[in-house]
Amino acid sequence: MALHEYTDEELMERFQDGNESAYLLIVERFKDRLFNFIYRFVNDADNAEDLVQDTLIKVYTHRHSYREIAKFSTWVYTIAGNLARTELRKRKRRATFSMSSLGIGEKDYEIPSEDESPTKDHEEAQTEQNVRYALGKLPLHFRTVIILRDVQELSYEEISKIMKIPLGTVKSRVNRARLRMQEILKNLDIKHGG
Amino acid sequence: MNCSDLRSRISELLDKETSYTDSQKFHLHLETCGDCSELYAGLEKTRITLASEPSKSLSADFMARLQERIRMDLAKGPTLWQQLTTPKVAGLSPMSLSGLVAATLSAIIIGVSLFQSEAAPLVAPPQSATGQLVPGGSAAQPASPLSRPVAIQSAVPDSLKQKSDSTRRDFSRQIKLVNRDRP
Ligand SMILES: [Zn+2]
Repeated sequence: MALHEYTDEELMERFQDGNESAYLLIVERFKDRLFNFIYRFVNDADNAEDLVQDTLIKVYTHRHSYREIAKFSTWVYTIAGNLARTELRKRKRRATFSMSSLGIGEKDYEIPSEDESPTKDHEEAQTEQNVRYALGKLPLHFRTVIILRDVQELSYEEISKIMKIPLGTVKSRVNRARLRMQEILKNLDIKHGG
Repeated sequence: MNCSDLRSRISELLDKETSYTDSQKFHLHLETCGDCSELYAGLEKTRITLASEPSKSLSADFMARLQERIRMDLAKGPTLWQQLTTPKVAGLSPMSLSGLVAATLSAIIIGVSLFQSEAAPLVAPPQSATGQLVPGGSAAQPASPLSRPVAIQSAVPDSLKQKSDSTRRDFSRQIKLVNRDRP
């Protein structure tokens, strides 16, 4: 069987046995997904890319602490999620009112202006920007479930494992988070007179 | 079915996880309630937007940089971090009280200086992987040296983290004094 036919978990097993090609294949499979995931947290492409690297390096160096009792994706999202949250906490500590373009805090998410991303269809770009803004305004526990569910499209069961909260809690949290996002978007429309 | 019934479960509808009967009730309400149907349309639009790829993507040299970092990481051997976090902190119990105080203060200083260092994280400080979540619930994780830096970090009072360098130097001097006075 060729390597690319293996599941993530099987690849991880090969990697634990010393097969580095298996690792590279895992990286290929996950790098874009992880980037998309982390980017939605930190809202900065360079920073997100570094954190994807940190995540994948941890997969490399901590390969033997992975046990096949968990899905590989659950494990890797857990690592990535922790790195993203640590980054956000670091920023929060650092954000002594700096207008750094990086942060997620109050100061850092400017209300989106109307004239960015000229290459994209105007309305689509505006929607994307508003959604990103609203996501950034959510409290972290809401933002996390939205990113896992609606960006990464993971199952409720998997989110429950990643976040270590009961399934019912995940469902109600996703519901509340989605509603909160709509409130934020609505207020944004009002501000823009839309 | 009223508005608040629907709103408390609107995600189920969006995720198509409602039973056939419930889904009919939901749709009946949506057809007759402008506010809820507007909300539902908004939720759908947002979800589609979230699921679409961000306009940015990884840079072309991503793989090369990753491999280079792994190579460097392997060449490095045990890091200063690993040396600091392995044996001594765990063996506090038999120490005298003053020893305990000094060790705690040292840990604080180490914590402050390491966490204030912006230049270091070629590889992010290893506490990052722990936080609230333990990867895969693996048994190896809690015992790993990675879990310790969190303890050190949380032992640093917030007031201390903000101290200037000179304050920290004063603090180090006090620690030296404490150490000197130890039996
Ligand atoms: Zn209604």
